[in-house]
Amino acid sequence: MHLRVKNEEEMMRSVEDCLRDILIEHLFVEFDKDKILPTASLREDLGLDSLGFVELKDQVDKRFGIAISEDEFTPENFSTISSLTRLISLHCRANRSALR
Amino acid sequence: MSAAARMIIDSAKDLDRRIADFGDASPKYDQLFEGYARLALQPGSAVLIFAPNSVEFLLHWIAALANGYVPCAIAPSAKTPLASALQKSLKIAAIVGPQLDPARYRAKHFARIGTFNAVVCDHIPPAYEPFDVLILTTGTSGSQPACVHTVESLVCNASMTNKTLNITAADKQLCVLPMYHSYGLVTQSLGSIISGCELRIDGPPFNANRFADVIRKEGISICGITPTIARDLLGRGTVLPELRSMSIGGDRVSPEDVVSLLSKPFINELYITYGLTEAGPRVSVLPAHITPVETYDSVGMAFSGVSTRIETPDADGVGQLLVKTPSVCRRKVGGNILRQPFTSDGFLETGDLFKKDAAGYLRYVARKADILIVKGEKLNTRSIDLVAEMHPDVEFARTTAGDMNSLVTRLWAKDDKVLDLDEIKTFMKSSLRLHEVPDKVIQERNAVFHK
Repeated sequence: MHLRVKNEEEMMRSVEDCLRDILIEHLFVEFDKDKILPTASLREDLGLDSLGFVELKDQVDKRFGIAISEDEFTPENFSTISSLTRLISLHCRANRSALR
Repeated sequence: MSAAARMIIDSAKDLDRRIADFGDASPKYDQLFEGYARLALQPGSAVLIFAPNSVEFLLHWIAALANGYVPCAIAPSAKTPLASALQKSLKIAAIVGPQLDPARYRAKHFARIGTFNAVVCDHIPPAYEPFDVLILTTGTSGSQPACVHTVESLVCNASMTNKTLNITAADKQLCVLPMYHSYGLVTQSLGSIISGCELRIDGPPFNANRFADVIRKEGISICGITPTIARDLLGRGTVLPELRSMSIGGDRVSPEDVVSLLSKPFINELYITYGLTEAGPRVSVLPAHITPVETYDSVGMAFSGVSTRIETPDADGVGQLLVKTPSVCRRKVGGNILRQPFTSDGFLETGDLFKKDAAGYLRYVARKADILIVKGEKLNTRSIDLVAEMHPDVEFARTTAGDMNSLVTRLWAKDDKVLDLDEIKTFMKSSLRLHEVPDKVIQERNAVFHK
């Protein structure tokens, strides 16, 4: 059980790290990677606009091999790195279950 | 101070009673007013405000204005090179925004105003008058011009729009379009303030189902969208709760889309509008729900009090649309403006080609050279070329529309070099906004350039 929680935490950190890379490499967010906090607002703090969110969703779909639906493309899910990480984790878990 | 400026500034104290967003509570207006006062800029100094859609942005905009400064809203996604270029070309005295890094601007003074950071640039003598407002027009790095409006001209335009679209204190308006553009800022935000109606502000990402939910939960009666969003809603077959009115502007709407929208039982009144930032912005409106089907290919007639004429029409009656409006900007600044876009008899040159029929309906024919609409966003291809030409290996660039709503930039190299196109695209991306980045970058042989 403890191992599972640890793996889960590691996975979340790895997803967060990957999102920071996407924001810097594809959206040219002008922040140092270590200064992008998981709680930073993608809209208010990092300045993403409508096309920025579309690009972020496309990159996330590609990078994680998932398909975020229109219904999931909401300001709530795309509010912060943390909220987006939760959404990605749900998809990844669902993909793993489907493969079993 | 004009009555219009007084009205907008006085409204700030109880703005949170009528205007709300879906984020955290905004700071108090008095706190923001004092924060701007502490910057101690001279009256008429321009303040660039990075502007995510929010009540706090609107309060910052008013607080800067109330201190005698000249607010200039800019997209929150704008990059430092653009802001630095505007700092010089528009004589910006301070830059304000969430998470703004003072080190990027080599700022001498740094302050916190509300939840935003503010940096004061080197001493810049004021270039404007108190209660002027700067609104950026289409462009990119280093060449983005702005219109110098007065609060009075903007309030005048918002008032004309309210009157024509019958917007009153009984309405509840939804703003989903960027508030750094004239439509979201003037038509919707200032329009709501002066009409006394309620305003709900939402921001990206745009989602059709959420749009419907917000309209339902908030009891929205009026909203304004772009043709791109309208087509998206039609394509998805989205069913909205009943709206008193929907207005669409910012690009051409096809007659087929007008018919489709009118067939929706949830839209009672449909307004197709035309405008440009220089005009304050709205110029004409087609109330499609009460006009004959033959007019659906038009942008209606000019607002009452606004005159239009076609400059030197050709055999088909096509020529540049000229507009005389009480809400016209005072002048244009920055972006290598060579001459002001006014005729000797005070008409504004729109740069758009139109036809005007005997009844006064205006029909759009083509947009001014260099301006394209790609992925629903307006962009200036010449400005993209200028960014490419800043690369040390590029002699000349030309950006045009490609297939499937794409953008193509052709490059000619200095000294016949072989260009590293990926590296040049990365270079361009660091200055451009996402919709301005070309989908394809191609190197042309210099022989073609020299022809």
